[in-house]
Amino acid sequence: MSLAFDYDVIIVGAGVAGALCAYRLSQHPGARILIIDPGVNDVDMPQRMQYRKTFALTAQRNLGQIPTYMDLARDRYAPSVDGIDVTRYLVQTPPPPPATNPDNKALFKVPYQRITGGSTWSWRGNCPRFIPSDFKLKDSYFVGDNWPISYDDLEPWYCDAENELGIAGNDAEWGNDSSFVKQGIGGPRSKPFPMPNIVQGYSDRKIIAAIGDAMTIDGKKIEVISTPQARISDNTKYPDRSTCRGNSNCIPLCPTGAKYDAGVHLRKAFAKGVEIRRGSVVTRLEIAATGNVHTVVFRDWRQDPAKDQRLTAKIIVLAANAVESPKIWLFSGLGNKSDQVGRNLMDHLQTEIGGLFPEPIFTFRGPQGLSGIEVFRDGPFRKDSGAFRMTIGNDGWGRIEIPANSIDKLFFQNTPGPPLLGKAFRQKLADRLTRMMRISVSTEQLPNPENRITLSADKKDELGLPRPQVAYRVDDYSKKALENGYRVARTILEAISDKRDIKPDVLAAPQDFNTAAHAMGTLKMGGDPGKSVVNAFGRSHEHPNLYVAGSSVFVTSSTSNPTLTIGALALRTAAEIVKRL
Amino acid sequence: MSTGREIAMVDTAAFRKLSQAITGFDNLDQTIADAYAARIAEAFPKPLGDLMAAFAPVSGSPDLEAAVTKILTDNPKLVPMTRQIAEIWYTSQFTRDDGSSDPPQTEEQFKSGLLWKAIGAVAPAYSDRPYGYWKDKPASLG
Repeated sequence: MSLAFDYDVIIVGAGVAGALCAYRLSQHPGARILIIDPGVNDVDMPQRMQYRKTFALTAQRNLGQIPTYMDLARDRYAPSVDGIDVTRYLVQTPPPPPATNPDNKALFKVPYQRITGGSTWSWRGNCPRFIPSDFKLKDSYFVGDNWPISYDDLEPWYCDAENELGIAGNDAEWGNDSSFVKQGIGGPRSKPFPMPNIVQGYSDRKIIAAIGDAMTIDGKKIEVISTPQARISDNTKYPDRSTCRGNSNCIPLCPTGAKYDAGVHLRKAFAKGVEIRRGSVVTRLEIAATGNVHTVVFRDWRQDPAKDQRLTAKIIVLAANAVESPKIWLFSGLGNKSDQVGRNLMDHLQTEIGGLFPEPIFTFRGPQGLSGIEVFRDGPFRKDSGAFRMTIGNDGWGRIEIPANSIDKLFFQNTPGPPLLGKAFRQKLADRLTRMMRISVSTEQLPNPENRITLSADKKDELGLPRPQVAYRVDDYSKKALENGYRVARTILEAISDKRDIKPDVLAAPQDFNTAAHAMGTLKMGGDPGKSVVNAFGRSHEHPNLYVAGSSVFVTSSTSNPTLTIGALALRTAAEIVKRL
Repeated sequence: MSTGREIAMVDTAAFRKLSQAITGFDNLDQTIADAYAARIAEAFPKPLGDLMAAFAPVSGSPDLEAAVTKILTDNPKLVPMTRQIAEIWYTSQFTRDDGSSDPPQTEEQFKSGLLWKAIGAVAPAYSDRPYGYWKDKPASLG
């Protein structure tokens, strides 16, 4: 331990990456660790109940995932994207000419939470691993880029992360004898899942039966399998967490803590002596004469006026997200010889389609999604168009039509005649809502250096820090993936839903994409310091004591939800840091 | 349970009865009816008064749904008020004149939303059911 610094390690950001790093480093005897985070919230059950109450008493709660957290004073001083107005914080660059360019719609729509625990307060909990080809996309399909590590390099850390997050998964569907692995799509597993999969829903069983064993699209056999999830199916191994009670509210808030959030590891880290500076926004990282970064300058926004404070550490871990980490990097003037800082911003583009099943399938009960279709995540088509994952919704039509809108639609069904009311209305409403089924498509996006985070030259936040500016376009590769995914989803839906109800008004069209809320890239890892920002362990090429944890370091996006890979990489980075303590 | 009281000139027992005809749910809770009548009366005093006045003469009808439907057929201007009553009982919120939503006032109001009962579910974030209940269809609706 070095006494020349205030701490051995300062971690910037208390999301999943920062929490896992802090927890793992806290197990190193004597390590002095500090987390700096803008949130002022707790990560305990009373806090969760307060958020639940806020959720219940907030109107329009289904419009976005963020309103639950919007009553916080924090939002004034450490703002983020709220999922409703994507320009309230991000400065989106003007669309390029001509004005009719369809890319004009390509706003970067990812919302996130700058609170303690980060966006894991509000996520679905889906945790598939990346597949081997995701790490060597350029070698495999001549597009995108290659990671400096392989699936095999990360596999032990996937096991580690699955154990830490508490992943419930089905070994028969995802293990080495599964169709998923035998087809060469998924990578092998060295350990079973920590828990059996979350039991699939009545709706899943009905949909699986309707698809049957013989449906093939584009040469791929359509199989609906359970999705590995960071959610407790059996808490024998996780006695501090509840089993899932099926609250149908994973986004915006799991009220029981059955679904993983970063609070799990923050609580463990605090118990081991990790400290946290709450309400603290980093205003600068300072470069020492050695090239190292030892000093974190920050302001506690609760103070009036908020003055700069300074703390030092032997090692700094930047674990904000793929927008905030490059923002800090850029306004601190850290090294950028590769010119890759802020570049290669990615998201998973989403579209979805809804229909009515011939009989009630009773979604809105259980987690918001339990199953998916994984066979389109890889194949030779990736030379020309992106891969996609498909998920079967367990929440009606999701964003296509929230139940409150169904009420309006049915109530005025007889317009201009009298409204439908009473038992007839109730029956119609139940018939519509209980038969809703939804398939969503989530596509990969290629790294593109022109998709990037920079600093706004003139727009500042409340603390006077430059707001992040985003340049973002969607290329044909991703558009084709959206079109293919929509076509496949529609083909499935038309085959199994009540054809009388397949109407334009119940089918979303992919004219525009939605966000998966998966910000990735912007501080990419790589072996060549001239082409990447950090090395294969997340260590800065230019500042040897500065590490990055989080999806910022992703080289490609895969089709997988990123959290498990964030966790695996963060644990791997933490192990590397421990060697230097 | 409350037996109903007058809130801003609204007979809340009659409001509950009218609400049952509109929603299709019998045995609505009178305490919640009191609260909802107050919320709507504050936002829409005259439209609610007009609807209640039209309802009063038929409130003893054996087929209240048919009676209310006839009221609305004869006077379509009362339809929007009826819709607000449906909305508040099903979702515990309603839409103000300016288009904004009047949110639930208590967690109990939120939990009591008829929408979830109608489809065999529970109000989001307030499940009291055991792990895995979703693998079977609900035993009954409502």
